[in-house]
Amino acid sequence: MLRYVLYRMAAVIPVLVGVSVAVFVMVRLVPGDPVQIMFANQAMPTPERIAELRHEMGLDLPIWEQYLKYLWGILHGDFGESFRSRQPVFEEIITRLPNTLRLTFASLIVAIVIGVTAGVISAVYKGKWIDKVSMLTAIIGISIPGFWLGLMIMLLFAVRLGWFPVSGASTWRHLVMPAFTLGLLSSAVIARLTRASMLDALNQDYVRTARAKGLREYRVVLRHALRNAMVPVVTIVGLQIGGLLSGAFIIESVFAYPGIGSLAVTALQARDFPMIQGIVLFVAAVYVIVNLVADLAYGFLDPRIQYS
Amino acid sequence: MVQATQTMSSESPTLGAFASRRKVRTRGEIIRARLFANRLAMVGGFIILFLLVIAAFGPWIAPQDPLEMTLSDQFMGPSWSHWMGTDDFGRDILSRLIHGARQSLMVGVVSVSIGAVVGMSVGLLSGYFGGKIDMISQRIIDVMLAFPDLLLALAIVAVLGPSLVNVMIAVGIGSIPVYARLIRGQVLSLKGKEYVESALASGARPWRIIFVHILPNSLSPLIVLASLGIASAILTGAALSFIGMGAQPPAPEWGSMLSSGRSYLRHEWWIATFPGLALAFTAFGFNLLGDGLRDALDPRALD
Repeated sequence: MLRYVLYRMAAVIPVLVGVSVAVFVMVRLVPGDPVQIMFANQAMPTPERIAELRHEMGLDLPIWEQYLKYLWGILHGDFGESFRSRQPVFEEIITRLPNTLRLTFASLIVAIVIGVTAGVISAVYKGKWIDKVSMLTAIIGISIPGFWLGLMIMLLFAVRLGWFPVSGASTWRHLVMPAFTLGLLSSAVIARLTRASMLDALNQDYVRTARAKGLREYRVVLRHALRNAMVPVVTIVGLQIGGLLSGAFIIESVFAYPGIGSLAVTALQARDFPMIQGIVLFVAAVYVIVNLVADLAYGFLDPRIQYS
Repeated sequence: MVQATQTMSSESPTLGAFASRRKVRTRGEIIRARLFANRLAMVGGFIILFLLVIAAFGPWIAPQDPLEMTLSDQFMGPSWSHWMGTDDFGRDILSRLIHGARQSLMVGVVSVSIGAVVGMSVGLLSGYFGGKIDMISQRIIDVMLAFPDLLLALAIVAVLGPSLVNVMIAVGIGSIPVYARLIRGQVLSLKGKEYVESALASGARPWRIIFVHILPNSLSPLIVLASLGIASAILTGAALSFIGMGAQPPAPEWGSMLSSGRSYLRHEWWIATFPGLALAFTAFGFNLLGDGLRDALDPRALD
């Protein structure tokens, strides 16, 4: 087991290196000179100053040396400097990270509670109206654009009813609307998978045995079927975290929530490449690690899975 | 053989009665029958058909010019003369939605085509030939999969610059890994099948085996994935336009219409509401059809 964990952890390293190469190359593919992009909305400095800046930014080095310098920087927490704010990219990301983590975590809870409940109810009442209604709702859920759902929730609960503040992040009340928006969207996927997985579990012999023992139905469903049905759900929850992270990009900017997502959208609009590069790299790394953890959790939850 | 029985049954009633008792339904017939029996899938199909008609005949259906600004008609709520109201420039929202159907469907179809064609080619080559090709392409795909959903498309569009065509390319590239993995898995499982082995033994060339024996048999999951993929591509494309990286104003694209409507949410709710409904309706149609196709094509239920 330990060997497997170590092996999987080691396998992540080439992926992360690949990600860093991809992000590095991507930014180099942007048409135009980085220094000119940097001064896109300002007065262009003198050619001497441009040459000086190019040297400072290491743009006069051979490409592989630029990459190594960049990689060395990343490993030391140096993601470069934002074109827009002239602040270190890493610092800005770290300052905003807690907000995004809070939002992702809160929406994950919303997604799991709603998704698993709906999925279990649907499976237990398979073919009944409640199953049909909740599964149709789930299809509608995956069809709704998140940014629109966010605006509609904002219109109803903030503008019309005035229950929650329209935007910002200073109190927990600011978290409610964006967390529900993101959570509702992912709950649809979780509900569908929980239902399928529960149906599978309810047909197993151990459930028949549990029923034959005369256990109450709720115990059969919750203790015997659900526990086993949760194994594939854990993996999809791992994947959903990635979805939530990237969903947060748009939802954060809808609610003007000061997280990494809204930072990225602002950076995109301003063509602030060091910032975009830093955020993309950072989020991809977090995503890879979360997936690794979900994968390993799968093994702990299901002892039938053998590792070699 | 089956076709012969069918022709007989349509030509002669007596023979037909005899034949129908022994009629064997082909796989295609079973799939079609199951799809048509699925009411939700049919609803999805009709939604798509409806949207295709709107997209094709939009300019003739739309009551007004989608770009024509009538400042005296600014911010009019839904009424008989403007069913969905007018926006900040007095443009008719219904007309803009009708014109936008074409753009949204294009984003869905073009980006899924890019993803499916490239992904399929990579998956076929990598699964069939294995070895170095497989190793290298799978590592590249590993890296692509390290970017969650929207992030890859966002990064690509950041490089290419904001435009609707770039959105299609970005969303398309972003979906390559899913198709590549799917087809690779299919190829690996089909490669061991007896009919492929016998084709190999009879000296068929690799291309023949890939295109005649392997590809047609791995199409059904691809079709399901593509149908569901169109829905998510349309939503991703609209999200990119919403943050200003896709279609640029004054183009009547649903995502960017929504984006310009958000500033007027407080009083003129209809500007942002209807484009969102149109997007949800479209994605709903493709999701319903995709779900129905998945059930109809499920090989476990076919035998």
